Amino acid sequence: MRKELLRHLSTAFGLTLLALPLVGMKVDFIEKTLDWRWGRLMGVFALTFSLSWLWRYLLVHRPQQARSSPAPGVLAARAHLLVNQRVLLLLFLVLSLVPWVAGGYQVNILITAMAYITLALGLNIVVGMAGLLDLGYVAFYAIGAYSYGLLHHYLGWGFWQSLGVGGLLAAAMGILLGIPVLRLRGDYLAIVTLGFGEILRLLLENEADFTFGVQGIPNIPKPTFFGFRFDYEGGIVFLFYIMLGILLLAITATKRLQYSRVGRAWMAIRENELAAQAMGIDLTKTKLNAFGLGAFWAGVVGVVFAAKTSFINPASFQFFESAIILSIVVLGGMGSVLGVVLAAILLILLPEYLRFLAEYRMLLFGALMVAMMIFRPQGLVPRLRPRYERDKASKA
Amino acid sequence: MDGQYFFELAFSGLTRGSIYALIALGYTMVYGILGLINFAHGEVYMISAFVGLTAAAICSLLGFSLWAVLLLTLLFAAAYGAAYGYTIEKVAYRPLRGANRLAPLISAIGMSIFLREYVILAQTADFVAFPSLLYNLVEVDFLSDYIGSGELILTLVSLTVLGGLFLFLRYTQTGRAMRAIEQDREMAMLLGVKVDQVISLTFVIGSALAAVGAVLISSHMGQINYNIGFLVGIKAFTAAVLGGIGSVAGAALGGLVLGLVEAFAAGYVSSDYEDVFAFGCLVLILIFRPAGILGQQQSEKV
Amino acid sequence: MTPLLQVRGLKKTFGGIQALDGVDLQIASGEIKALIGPNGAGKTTLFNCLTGMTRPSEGQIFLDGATPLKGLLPHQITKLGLARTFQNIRLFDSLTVIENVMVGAHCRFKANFLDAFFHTRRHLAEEKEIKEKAYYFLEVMGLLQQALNSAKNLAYADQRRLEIARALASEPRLLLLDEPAAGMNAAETAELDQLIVRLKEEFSLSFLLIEHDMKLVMKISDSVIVMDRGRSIAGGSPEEIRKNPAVITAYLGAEGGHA
Repeated sequence: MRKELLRHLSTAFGLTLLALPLVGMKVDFIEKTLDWRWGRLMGVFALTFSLSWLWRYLLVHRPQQARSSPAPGVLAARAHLLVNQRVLLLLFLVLSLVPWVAGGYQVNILITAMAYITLALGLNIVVGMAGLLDLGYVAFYAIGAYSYGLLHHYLGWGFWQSLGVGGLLAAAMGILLGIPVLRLRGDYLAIVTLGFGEILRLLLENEADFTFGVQGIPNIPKPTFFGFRFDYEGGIVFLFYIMLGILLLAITATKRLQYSRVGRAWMAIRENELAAQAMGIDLTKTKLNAFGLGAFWAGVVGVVFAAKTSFINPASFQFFESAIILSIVVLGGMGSVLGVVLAAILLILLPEYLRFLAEYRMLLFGALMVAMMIFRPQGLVPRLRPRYERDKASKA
Repeated sequence: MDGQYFFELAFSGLTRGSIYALIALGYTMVYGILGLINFAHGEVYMISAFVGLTAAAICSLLGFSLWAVLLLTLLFAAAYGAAYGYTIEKVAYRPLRGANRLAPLISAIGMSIFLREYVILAQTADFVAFPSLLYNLVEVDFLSDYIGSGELILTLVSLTVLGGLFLFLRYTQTGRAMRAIEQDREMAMLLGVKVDQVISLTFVIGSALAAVGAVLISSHMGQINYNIGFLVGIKAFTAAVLGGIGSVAGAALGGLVLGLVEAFAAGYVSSDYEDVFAFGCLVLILIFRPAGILGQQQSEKV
Repeated sequence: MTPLLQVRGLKKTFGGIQALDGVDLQIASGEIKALIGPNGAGKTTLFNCLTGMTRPSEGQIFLDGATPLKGLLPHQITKLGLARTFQNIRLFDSLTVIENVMVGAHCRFKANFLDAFFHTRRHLAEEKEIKEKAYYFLEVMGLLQQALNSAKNLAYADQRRLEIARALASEPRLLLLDEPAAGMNAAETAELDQLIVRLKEEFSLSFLLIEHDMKLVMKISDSVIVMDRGRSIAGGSPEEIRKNPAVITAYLGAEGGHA
């Protein structure tokens, strides 16, 4: 026990020493001042000390299997039982009542949350199901948003036409960018997609004659309803319902794809590319399918995003946006719809309501990503295996 | 073609390139041994810059000479960079040894986000001024048309450190152990190489090099913020891939090549597209020659 | 009668190393052909060339004497009726046993993602058929009890069997087995040889199998081909091979008493 205590004390001491020049001091080179902040440093010590205990405890009690294999636990099975089609529908009915009881602020937050869920479901196809680590996913989101922004500015297009075009354009780009990276291994693929994402953002910044550069595109209108234009509040509510519909479609699509020939092919590629090929799976077609479909949802959500904020600029589409979406997928459990929904609520919605947490949101994001990989790589709610039980009739 | 301009660009490319090389070594050594892209490496670079700022401020408040300030800042930043690198490996990567490939990479991205936010919360989200430690140290006449005295010192320091590393890897027991693990981890373990220790050391060395690079380039640029690690990290990674990831000589070469490409692209084409060129380079190499200049093409065994 | 598979003068170099140096081979319809040879003889490389995973440098491969396989991609070759198993087992680990076999049936069906999204009649009918087929092949391989387990939780011998079930689901005409008995005990091996003979009759399958277990090879194969240093050095009935002096020096002599 004393040895333990000493061990954690020294860990905490070491980490506090690491934090000393960053947390404990602040210099201003121009004013020639040096602030000491002992209080914060004490806080770091207390925090690292308790985290060290927790870390050790979790590490020792880590199930050996968790290292490599996502095995859905009892909890997951129960959670999945709860969320059958009917419960899902009920949930959507309840959600659809929100704009009638809550103010514009709440509605806005919910649109954001639903947008992130849809983005995560899209990325989930690429990363979770097909196992292709895409770090440039935000590019397709940007393509959707800029499709609407530019089509509106240059051609006067409305929301609805842009919605279709934005989604399809993003899908087309997904396929186009997918072609050269087909042969790349996991981590190289990750870096190349990151590079694509950054190149696109830099182009948006630098091609100012066409994209308005860092100034961005203002005055993007809200959707109309068969030509009817809502007032500001009404427009947001309408957008809420549109987003709700998109989310419903995305969830249905993900669920159905999981239990289909295409979905199984994706998972086969994720598990073992070589064996998948040998089983007659066309790698090119299957991977491009995943890239395209994943990008499609990002494009669609991008159009909604442009309509919601009515202003877009390249700063909204930085790499760390991709990282947030990825962390939702990872936290939720790769391949699991319910997990993604829960994770998005946890990561997007919770900080909105717990304001004191907002400042630490990204810090916790990062820490959670690391901790999840170590202690629970299967995510909050791992994908439940489809049962595929044998039909009684055919057994005879 | 204007000769003066050409040489200016060449020296500017050499300056950048030597820094990229320093940082690229961290990526390449870790990749060589663990097969992992240490996504948080850029963040170590960024944190070292902040530590360097604190160290430089304290040293100058204490009234040390310019040379002493530079040396102490470098030492202090390198020590802290090394400690951060060591800790990151222990926390985020070691528990994942033997997990599937994506897990450590995602863990690395998480670590990277965490460290950025940590610096924002601990220090500031704004740019802060960084002292120019490299200037007024010496009077240089012979190259002054093409390169400032600060850049010259920067290049010399980083080349010296690079040289030191080569000697270390080639002629010391530890260096040989590193190369042994790179060749075949299990075999090295059987032969009694303490793999965990060597991996830790790899992180320590790589991070210290990045810290040296961070101090040098920050005092060259004159300001730092929490975001500087991302771009430099990607560029250094590009350099590592360009030279052939896993190869130490390749990383040095790749750094210099990338620095020159960037300098000339910025000088003769457009400086707006400097970063696009770097990313473009990265994407093209990974797609068409993933083994890099000095690397060997590998194929998976069926 | 034209042979099912005909290989002529197949060569493959890997960066200066001659892995295959002129392999000739014929497999008749309904034949079980064993491929033997010392380690490094190029047996697995030959498999990889036949299934499109490695591109041969020279030579020809014909299916039914007419369809050239060289230059086709692995999935195209699988669709034409060649399926394989792997020496180092390559299952879809975290999928269930039944899902593994269902993936095997992939190339015989057509439903795309739109079918899945709209639950079209094609999707529903195909899903039903895929599942039934998969169960059927599990039954054949004696894995019915394991259907809903993770593939990675199977015992070693069961994993080898699952690889065969998965390959069968692609409805092959020629099945290439890469050391199917490796790691199996005597009883399991005996079961396996009965199974192979049964599969041959039931599905009118042909086999090409790499195997080190000489008892198995001698017992079930109709003919044997011997490879050494990238060449096919002898071929014939098991009896002839046993007596062939070239084989004895190259293989049995080199490895010392495998027979």
